[in-house]
Amino acid sequence: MSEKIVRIVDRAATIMAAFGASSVSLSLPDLSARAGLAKPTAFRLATVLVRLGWLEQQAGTGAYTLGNAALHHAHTLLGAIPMRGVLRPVMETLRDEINETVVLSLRDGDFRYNIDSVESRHTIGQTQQIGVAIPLYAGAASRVLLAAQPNNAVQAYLARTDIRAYTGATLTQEAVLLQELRSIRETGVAVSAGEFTSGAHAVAALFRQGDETAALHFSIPAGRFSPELAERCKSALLAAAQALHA
Amino acid sequence: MTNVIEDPETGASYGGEAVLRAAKALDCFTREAPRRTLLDLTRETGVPRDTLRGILNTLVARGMLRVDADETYQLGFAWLQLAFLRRQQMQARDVALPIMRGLVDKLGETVILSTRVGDQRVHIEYVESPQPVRRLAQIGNGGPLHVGAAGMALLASLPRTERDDYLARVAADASAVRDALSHVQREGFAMAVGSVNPETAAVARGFHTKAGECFAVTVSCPTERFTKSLETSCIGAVKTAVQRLELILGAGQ
Repeated sequence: MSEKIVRIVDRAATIMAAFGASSVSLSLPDLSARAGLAKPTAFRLATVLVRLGWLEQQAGTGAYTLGNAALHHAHTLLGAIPMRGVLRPVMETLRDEINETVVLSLRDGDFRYNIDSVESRHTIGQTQQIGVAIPLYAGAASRVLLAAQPNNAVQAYLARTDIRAYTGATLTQEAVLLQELRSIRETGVAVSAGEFTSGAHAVAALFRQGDETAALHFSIPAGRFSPELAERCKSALLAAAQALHA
Repeated sequence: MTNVIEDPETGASYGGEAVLRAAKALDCFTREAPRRTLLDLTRETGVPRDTLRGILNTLVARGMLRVDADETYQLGFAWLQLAFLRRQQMQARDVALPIMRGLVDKLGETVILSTRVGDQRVHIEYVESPQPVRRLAQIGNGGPLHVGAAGMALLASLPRTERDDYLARVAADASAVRDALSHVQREGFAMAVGSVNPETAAVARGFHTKAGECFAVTVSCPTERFTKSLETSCIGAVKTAVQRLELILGAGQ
């Protein structure tokens, strides 16, 4: 299979990826530096992207922000994920019960993706990593999804995967991981502390609907986390999973 | 505007055409048809297969598309991340949300903020009614601009040339739509009661920001709750809410 990359499309994607939590708006010099293009070239590319709705340009400053096209594609994408529709009311109920952010994630290949979230009503919270590829060994929700796989698939995954630490807390020893997976299969829940992003604890459980599986996890900033809260989260998740599978 | 983009520093030339084609391919994915083969996409975009495959490979590499073993494509998760960031970052949304909550408190019905994306009106934020039976909304939900209260309110707020261009291209019965739009402009709001969806009633009004963006604020509820009294309250409250938004965000600054 030809893996030829079309450079201009790749650079358009790089421009889009330049926006993040701290980069709400970017000037033309920023964009041209990030995309590795001379300013006039970057300007012409940005103009095409504005026309497509991928970017917006602010009238006063001329700076660029993300546009609305992403909202439309995200909506289309979410519409094709039945688990999202099924679990959204469950997520809202869980958030109302515990008042911490609830995140829905799915496995795709060797990665987990946070698909959707329902935010807690606290003013302090962790920004969720939505749509980002997260390894299947890092964090409670990842391991819940990995544990749902049959044993041979888990072994094959571990054999081909380079397990590296994302933070000081990431579990990297295979023996420990396998023990953790056994525990998840017995109890139905997993807990982790800051393995992919520092500062957030997670309590996760598996949800099934027919052939589809997904993980729901509470994402709790370290400052609010306690063993008692973890237990309440576990009970709430297990009860919700049971109600769904009934 | 030429679609060939030349880089004066490296001398390389890039086809901006490829980006337009990539966008065209992405638009082939819909809720009704979320999985498309290379053949589907080749036919629908008119782009030659090998050229299209290169473009699609690039989108897959950047997470904007996913592909499985039999070359069936789906939209990729990068769009979720971009949409999430976009929602977090929209200034109009930050200002509008408290005002929308105030409207819901006052009227007891769902309030939706929408904007134009291409030829569609798209819901970008909402606050739902606390009542168990209520208008439901979805971020990213799209529909034609000339159908429904929100779309008509947006269409009425667009600059004349953009509106004329849209009507010429899309509206089957442009003169009927124009008549309806004159009414919206005279009255200062758009209303649809059971016309788009027999179960839904909606009142909407559009506005501009200083930056030239167009938005519409819509109140929507089940038709059986849409009494004359509620209708009057909705019209008054939406007008007031939009006036406040125009004051904070608007071109009148």
